[in-house]
Amino acid sequence: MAKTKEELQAEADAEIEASKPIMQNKDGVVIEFEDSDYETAKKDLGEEKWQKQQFGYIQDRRDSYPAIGDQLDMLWHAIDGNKLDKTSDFYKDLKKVKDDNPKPS
Amino acid sequence: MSSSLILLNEINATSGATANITFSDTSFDVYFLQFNDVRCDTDDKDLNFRFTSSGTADDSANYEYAVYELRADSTHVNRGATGQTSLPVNISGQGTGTGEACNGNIFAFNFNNTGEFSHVTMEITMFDFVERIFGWQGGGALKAVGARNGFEFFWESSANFTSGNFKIYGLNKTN
Repeated sequence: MAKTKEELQAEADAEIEASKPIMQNKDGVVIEFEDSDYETAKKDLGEEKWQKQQFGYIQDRRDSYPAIGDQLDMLWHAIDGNKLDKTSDFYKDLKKVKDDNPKPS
Repeated sequence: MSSSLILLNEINATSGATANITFSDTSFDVYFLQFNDVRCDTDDKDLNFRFTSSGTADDSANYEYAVYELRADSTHVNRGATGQTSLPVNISGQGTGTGEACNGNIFAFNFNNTGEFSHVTMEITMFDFVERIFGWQGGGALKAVGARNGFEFFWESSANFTSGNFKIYGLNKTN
């Protein structure tokens, strides 16, 4: 079950608080984050969590799909074997990638 | 006409969640930022950057980019977005293993022009967390007028730098 943006932001806030002190390198000088930096880090992390939840599956699927050439080869074999349906490797391999990396509900 | 690179600032980031490098010489039309051997303490983290104004990172949702992601293991991808709060250096997640580092060149335009948007071109290479090689070429902009005086790099999820050399040059013109 997908979390709300507010729930994810609350998680991000807690994680940043738990990570204190966070340091920064400003022109070669390492100092602790200022309050505004902590606020930015919380906002960034909340947005990252939201983007990953909502859209992370796109990148995950892209990384998991077979190479285009291999997909075309599977498609050719499916056609050649009169199996251009859900029993083909072409369908089953791509379906597995989609099932393994579902869209958020 | 000949030209030369004038080194304005250099930092080595061996710790910290952000690496901020600025310049004070505003006499250049074009700046050149080079970074190499940039590494993270946590696996599978993306590197991003923002422009700084008076030393402070601008995190407004006015960044836009359009890049071509080249990769050896899969199909190349056009990537782009508007309304972002930063610009990405990579999007696949850098690793912590041997050789899993990020290197790149960034040219910066209009950083001293208070009446124009600030633009960058990017040319980046990296190994991600499963040692896949990536190339990253394209451009980005901060779609808000104003002067900028540097860059702030930061890792996803406030992960920390373990290494990274950043140099910023002015592109000097001599006739």
